Amino acid sequence: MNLEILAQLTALAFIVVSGPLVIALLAFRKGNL
Amino acid sequence: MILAFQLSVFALVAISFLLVVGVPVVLASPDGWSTSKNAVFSGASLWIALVFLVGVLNSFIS
Repeated sequence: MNLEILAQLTALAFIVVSGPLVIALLAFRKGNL
Repeated sequence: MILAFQLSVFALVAISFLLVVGVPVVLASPDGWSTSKNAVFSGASLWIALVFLVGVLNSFIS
């Protein structure tokens, strides 16, 4: 398994997940959406 | 030296993710800024320090 590809896909997953995660956390904490 | 560089980059990626998620959540949460202001400032300071640390360590390994 190519470690560099794995690291790049992990970084991409972090970036893609961060947006919906903010929305979900704010909805859970009843923030100002 | 390479290990220190790799650990610093990993720490920078991790704290960047935490700040990208955490800062908007803190700013839009009810009463969030007044309770988490110190955490945001500490995280931002640590992030700036890590950027310079990675830059300095990079000049040692390449």
